[in-house]
Amino acid sequence: MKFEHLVAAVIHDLKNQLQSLLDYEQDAISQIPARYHRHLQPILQRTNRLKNDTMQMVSLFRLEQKENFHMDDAWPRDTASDAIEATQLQYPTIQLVNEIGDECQGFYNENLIQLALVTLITNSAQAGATHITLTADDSQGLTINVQDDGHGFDKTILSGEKDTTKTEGSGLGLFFVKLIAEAHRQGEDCGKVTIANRAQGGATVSLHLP
Amino acid sequence: MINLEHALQDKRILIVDDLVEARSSLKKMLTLLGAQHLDTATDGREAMDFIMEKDYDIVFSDYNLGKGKDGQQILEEARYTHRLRASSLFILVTGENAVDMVMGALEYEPDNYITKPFTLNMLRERLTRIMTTKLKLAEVDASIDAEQIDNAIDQAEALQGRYPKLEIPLIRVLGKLYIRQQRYAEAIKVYSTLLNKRSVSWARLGQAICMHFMGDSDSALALLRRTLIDHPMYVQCYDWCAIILNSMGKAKEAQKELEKAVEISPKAVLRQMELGRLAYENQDYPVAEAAFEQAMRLGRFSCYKTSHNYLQFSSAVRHMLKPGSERSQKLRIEKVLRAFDELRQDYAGQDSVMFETSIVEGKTHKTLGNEDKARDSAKQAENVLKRMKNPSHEHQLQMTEAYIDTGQHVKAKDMMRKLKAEGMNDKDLRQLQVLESNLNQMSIRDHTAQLNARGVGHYEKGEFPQAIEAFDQAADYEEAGISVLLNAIQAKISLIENTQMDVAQLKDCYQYFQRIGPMGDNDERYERYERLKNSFTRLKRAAGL
Repeated sequence: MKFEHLVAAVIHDLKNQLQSLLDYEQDAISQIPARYHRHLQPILQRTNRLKNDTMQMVSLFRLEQKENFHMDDAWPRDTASDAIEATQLQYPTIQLVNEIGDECQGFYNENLIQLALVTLITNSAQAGATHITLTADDSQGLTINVQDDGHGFDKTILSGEKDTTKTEGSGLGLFFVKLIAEAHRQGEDCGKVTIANRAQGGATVSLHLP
Repeated sequence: MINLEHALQDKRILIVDDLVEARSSLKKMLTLLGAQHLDTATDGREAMDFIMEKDYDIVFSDYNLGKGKDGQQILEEARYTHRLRASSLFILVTGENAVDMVMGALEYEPDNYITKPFTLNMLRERLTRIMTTKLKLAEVDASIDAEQIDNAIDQAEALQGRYPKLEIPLIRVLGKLYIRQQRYAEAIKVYSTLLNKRSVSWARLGQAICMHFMGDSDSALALLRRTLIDHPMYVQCYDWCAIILNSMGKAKEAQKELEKAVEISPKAVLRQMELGRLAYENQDYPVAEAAFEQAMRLGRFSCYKTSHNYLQFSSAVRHMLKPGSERSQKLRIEKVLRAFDELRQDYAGQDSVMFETSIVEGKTHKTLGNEDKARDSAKQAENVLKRMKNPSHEHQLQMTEAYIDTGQHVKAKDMMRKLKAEGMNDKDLRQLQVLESNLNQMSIRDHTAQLNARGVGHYEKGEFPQAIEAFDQAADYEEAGISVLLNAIQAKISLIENTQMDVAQLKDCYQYFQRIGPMGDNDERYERYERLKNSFTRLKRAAGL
């Protein structure tokens, strides 16, 4: 058996175990009186974060291997909704709004784009956002926007001098999202990420896919 | 979009997963989503039993089901046996790393997939999308189920204008249907439309198949190779490379391609059979043995079970056996005998299978040096052949060969005479000629053996000239073995030593040594050879040659 296959098999099991752990924890919470929830909540959140980290790790590994990612018809509204589900647990007080239309269509690797959105939402949350909105447009390729009301990007990041100013987490979030965008190629075109600060405060990150 | 709860409530659903947690979790989720008629199966066999017994609208199957069949095989069998209609849904549940493999299939592809792990919401969204699309394609699927393919094509073409968002699933269906109707140019066109916008491996594979059928095999191969660079796990590309190479007469290269496909996806029975067939033709018996063994094992409880695999397996094994029952080949012998047992059990009512079983069994015994058992098998084959109403020429030729192998030359000649009188096609006639020349060689061998025996008799009585005459006659046939030649040399030397120098006899000896050629010192006849050679050299010197 090839080394990559072994790694893939181990990670596959890891993912499944973490998912069952999450299911068990959620099940437990639903059966325990509300006043004890605060004891279980941190465990649930950490498990969720572990799962997201694992997904990120496997994707990084595969991006590095330059593997061929399966791309297919995909529905941004569903992908965004999955990403919201995966992060809401972590940040129960943040308002996450999915404004993407039902008919909006894309052609991408669902798992990767979901991960990219999870990463962007996490970034926003860590930038102090309380309200995050996801929108999309499929008139020319596909663009998915994540808008927040946090403190916005630092000048050094907007100018491209630095990749991160964060002290918490790996600080690789935006870089990772760029890798994912670039893995989406159509002939000469490849995906890209643009960032901007909003006039009314907060930031917008846009994921453009060909 | 459809109302999922409403859509699911009257659907008959089958869940296949080997893990109990996964099974119950999916069942729970589907119940929450509105499903009311659910069955669960733990492996491929149980799943197939369910599918043969009931009509399902939706099958959810895990791809990796542990030891037995995988989800892809369940799909293939379900569709191959027409137990799963085109309008039914087959959804493969899989880890993300396997999606590439399962969504590449052109012939038997799942309707869709869902990657693990997933939550209730993810399942709801995914199913809503899948079932909404399926509903829009309902009329096309109905025509396919009714075998009205051209109708289905017309409907799918009409839908293209109506639902631009369904471009990909529509092109997928259309391409397949065009190919089925041999409308290759249209298939290529529709695949190109998609490829101009989207890089989709299955569309490339579809184009390559069409190019091949339209006569441009080189371009088809080039396209497949390019696709494989981007997408090395895409097994169907190897399959088609093999088909195309084989059609170009490059059977060895074709075999290599299939070996790669089997390495990636070892559980597909049809592929293993094809590999075995090619390898056998290429006389690569170890590969053929392994492939047919897999095909027997994987096919045992499937619709692909066929006597052919057992017979081919036995034939491949026979080529690797040696006379005797050494330890090293014990396992192989056991396996091949078990294959014969299984054949006799499972195909008892089929004369032609029983006949071929006896033939292959006889050959195996012959190879192992069990002459008696070989004759028993030939006898059995003979009995079955007598029972058969219209035995084919091929069967009769096989019987002839068995007669020759077991020393029943008269029967062999009778059968050959009968076959010649009936007249045969070129292929069978060539086979008959091969058998005839085998038989001739064998009679010559018998004849030389008799001459040799006569020579030995004379020699032992000291009648050297008569011995020489017999040995020389035997040596006249180019088939004469080394022992005959050595006998002739020895008789001539004895004659000279006991009477007088005879240069002509010495020259004959020289010729015979030339025919024998050099002999290795591990040959059991080496000592004798050396002794005679020394005597010969001494006599030659004495004669002043």
